Amino acid sequence: MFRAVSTPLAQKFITGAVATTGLGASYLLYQDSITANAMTAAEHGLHPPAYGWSHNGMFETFDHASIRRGFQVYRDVCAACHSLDRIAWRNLVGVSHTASEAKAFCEELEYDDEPDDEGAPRKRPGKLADYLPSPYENEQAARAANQGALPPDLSLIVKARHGACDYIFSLLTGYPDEPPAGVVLPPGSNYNPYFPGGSIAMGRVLFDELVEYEDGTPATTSQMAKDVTTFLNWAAEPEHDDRKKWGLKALIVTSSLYLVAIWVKRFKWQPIKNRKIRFDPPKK
Amino acid sequence: MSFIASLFQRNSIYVATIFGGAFAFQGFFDVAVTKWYENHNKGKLWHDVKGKFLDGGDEDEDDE
Amino acid sequence: MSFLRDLIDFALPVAYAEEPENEDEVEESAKVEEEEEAEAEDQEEAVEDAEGDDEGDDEDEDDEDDEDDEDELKDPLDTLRDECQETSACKPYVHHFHECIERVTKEMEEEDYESKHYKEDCVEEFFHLQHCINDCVAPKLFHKLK
Repeated sequence: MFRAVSTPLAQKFITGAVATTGLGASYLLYQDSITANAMTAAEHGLHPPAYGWSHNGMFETFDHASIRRGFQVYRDVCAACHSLDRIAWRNLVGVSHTASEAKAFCEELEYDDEPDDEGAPRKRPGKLADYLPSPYENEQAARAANQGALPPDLSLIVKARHGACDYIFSLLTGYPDEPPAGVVLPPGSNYNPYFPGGSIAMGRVLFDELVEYEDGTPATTSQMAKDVTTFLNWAAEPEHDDRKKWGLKALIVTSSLYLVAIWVKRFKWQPIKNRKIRFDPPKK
Repeated sequence: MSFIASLFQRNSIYVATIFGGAFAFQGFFDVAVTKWYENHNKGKLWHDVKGKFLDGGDEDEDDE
Repeated sequence: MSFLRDLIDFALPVAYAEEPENEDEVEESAKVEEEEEAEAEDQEEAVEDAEGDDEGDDEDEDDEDDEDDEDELKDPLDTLRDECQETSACKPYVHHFHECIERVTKEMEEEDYESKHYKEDCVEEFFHLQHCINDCVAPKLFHKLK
């Protein structure tokens, strides 16, 4: 029937009309389903701003003094509820503490030992090879102590949240004195705009001078938040400093070899690029 | 012939030169980049931080 | 894209000229105050030694020994947030937010609030305000922290 319409022009017109109608209809019908931005701003969480972390940038290491202070904040404030399962005492050595200091930390704690000769369980003091202790025996105990909410393990939290350091810092310092008018929170919850949905089980934990820093740094809320975030970033990415150094070496080598490759290619191609071909038409 | 040309005459010498050169370059390159990197990040590294703590001064006998 | 930005930031580091001036002023005034405090301490100690070391000792020494700053410890984050709220860029958002709070609290006092189909909250206004404050605070805060 399409071919029955005689002129090619008419056929083109009909094809065009059908295409336009089809594409237009599809766009209008499905435009809201193509993307997954079905969240309100509150559900998405307030976007954390970019702070001037000293380890931002391709060639920047962590500030290890900040890691050391951050460990103190973790141990004195966060470890009451949050585990740090993937970090062992030995990981601190050479990063934020000396081996003696790390040993002194872990020897105060008790870990399960092999049973004695009669099979009775026993305990021993910690050693560097042991992992940092969890505040709760298991998930059920953690939930029971926190109104049903599970404080997540923090060893990878910085990599596990959109916004990484900026998000963790904003979350810790972002608790307003009261939620905006009209917001209804489930009982026992706290309002934090950065947490997706706005309603978080954890309350504000950082307050000025909660911790006393050994180097005399004033322990303001934002200072402690910065330090503990740096510490948690190290815990999630202990290879960070080495990785960036290797990245620098790789960049230097690959860019140098790239330039050398360009030069060698042009050198080898020179005869071809400069040859001249002459055509002598046959004499008739 | 020149010294350089003599390196290309025997393949075994050529390969050996490359291996030796790579080894030497690698050592030099690593030291050079590490030095630059640590200088760029002066004040932030554990090495610099260690001395600043009261305890750290007394206790750092055995290690890093 | 952040790779190029990193290279550029590395080659052309940005420094903020305002901060050091303030810090110098604060340091100078703090030093002057510390000197005054030290003198006052010496005088007090002399007097107390003469009288006898009992009650007043610890309190006075603690008051003057512990504080690096003039008064109590003030979080630079709070200071910056307060300052940024006053800027001309963020004042309108503060205004909208307060307007919303008034509106919503009035609505909440109405009798049929419970059965209302749509209940407004001020999250949107709050987010706009926080976003403005953050844009102002974030570039400056870490210069004030150790």
